[in-house]
Amino acid sequence: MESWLGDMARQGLFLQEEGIAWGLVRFQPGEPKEVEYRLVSRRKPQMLWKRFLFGNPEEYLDGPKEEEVDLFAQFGWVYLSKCGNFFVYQAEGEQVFEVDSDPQVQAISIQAVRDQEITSLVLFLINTAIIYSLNSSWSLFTILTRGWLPYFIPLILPLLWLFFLLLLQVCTLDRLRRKLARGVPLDHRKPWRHRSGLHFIKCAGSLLVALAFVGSWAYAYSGDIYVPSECFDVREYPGDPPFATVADLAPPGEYRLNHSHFSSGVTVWSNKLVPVYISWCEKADVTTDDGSVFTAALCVEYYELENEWLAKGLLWGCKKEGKQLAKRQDSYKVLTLPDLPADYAWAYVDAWDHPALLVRVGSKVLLASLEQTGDCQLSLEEWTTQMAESIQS
Amino acid sequence: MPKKAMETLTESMYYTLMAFRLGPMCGTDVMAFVESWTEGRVQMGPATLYTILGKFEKEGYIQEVSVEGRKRTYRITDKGLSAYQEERARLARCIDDARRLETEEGRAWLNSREPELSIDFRPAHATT
Repeated sequence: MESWLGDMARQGLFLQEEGIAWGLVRFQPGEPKEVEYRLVSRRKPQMLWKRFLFGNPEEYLDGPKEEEVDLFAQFGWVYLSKCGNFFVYQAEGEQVFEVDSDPQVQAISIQAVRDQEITSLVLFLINTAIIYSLNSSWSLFTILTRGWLPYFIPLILPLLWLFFLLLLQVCTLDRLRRKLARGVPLDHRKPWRHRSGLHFIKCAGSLLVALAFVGSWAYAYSGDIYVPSECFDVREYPGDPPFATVADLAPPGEYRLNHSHFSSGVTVWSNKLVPVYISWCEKADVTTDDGSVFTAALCVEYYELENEWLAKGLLWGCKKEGKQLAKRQDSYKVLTLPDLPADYAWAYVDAWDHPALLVRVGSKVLLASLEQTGDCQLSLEEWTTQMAESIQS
Repeated sequence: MPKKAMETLTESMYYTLMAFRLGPMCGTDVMAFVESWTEGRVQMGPATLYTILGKFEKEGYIQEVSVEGRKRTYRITDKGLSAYQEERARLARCIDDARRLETEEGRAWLNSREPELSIDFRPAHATT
């Protein structure tokens, strides 16, 4: 930056006062002359949260303090502009009184800037994690298993890119600090052209990330990301589904599908990570021999995953989603389950105020909710045990 | 083993503390003293001085005593005085070690270890 500004001055372009902002640099024309520029690190951290907490404008001014500007002016250095965590000073002529005469002392000031950048990086990670956990009802495993990852990667790319840029900044500052701490002074005339390539790569990368983000958001919003699926009536399902249905849960009797206030149907799809996915919605009445009616609406999401690790992840994602949705409706409550024949089982009251079961057996995951009306009803223990047993093997 | 920050003072830091030993001063006075007393050998840049003042104030080596407009005056603290005296003693020991090597004691030490040493450490003016 220093050598580049000096080269521009030799061509008759001089940095304007407060001429650096938002990654752009403003110049004013003039007679070409020798001008030296120096970047001097800020003395105090520039984090927004400290301004709110301490509220002392004296401590957290945007520019350098007046005494600093006066001191530098005594040696021919004029303050021009802020540049991130640095202030840009200018002095005319080739022979100037260097602002930093002791590299090891300069390393101390660079370290303060580096430490502030590290804090920014850590806070960025913490903020991202908090915002994600509070707002997202989609877990990574849900996105992964539903095949949405290619569309979600560009959406999270800006966060990854920002993290990468912050990390690069920290590493650059640390390398600079270690060099100064060894007593090696900076070369203020270092050729800037080979570093300008890196700068353009960062700008191009930022532009590509922004375009990918906008493009992915538009594509995801269009609804085309959903996996192609088949939908049909429950009676048309070929064979028996790999889990218990209303007919299996109900006592023996006459079965009749019930379409009142409920839409029965089956959706199936498959992808590499989830070879079998079945979404089953069924409402039926079963009239027993003694005339009592068992009416139940059963909703099932059934997954057979590629491996157990994915199943565990999906289970965690489904649990998180179900909990968040139920809490938003103020219906969430954990239910006590008996000892079920499963690797993991958990029951709760879902967002529609129905008991729901989440169970994993090996690499199979089942999420079922059952709404019962009518004369005879199954206890939580009875139907959850049957559901868990039905997905064994 | 690398030393921790402030364990060994750099030349600029040492002369800054030396300046404050004379009494309360502002930054400009410190720079003027250092350049004058070292006869121009040690010249401190404004950014160097500013960093040292900030670091010393943070470490408790100096404390601000008054502010007149844009001019801040500092004075050395007991901790700063102690750091200055430690560094002075360390530098004195370095010079003393070099001087001892030129004496009879140094020559005797070298002679007793000559077969072990791969480099000739004898003083340049010594004769065999």
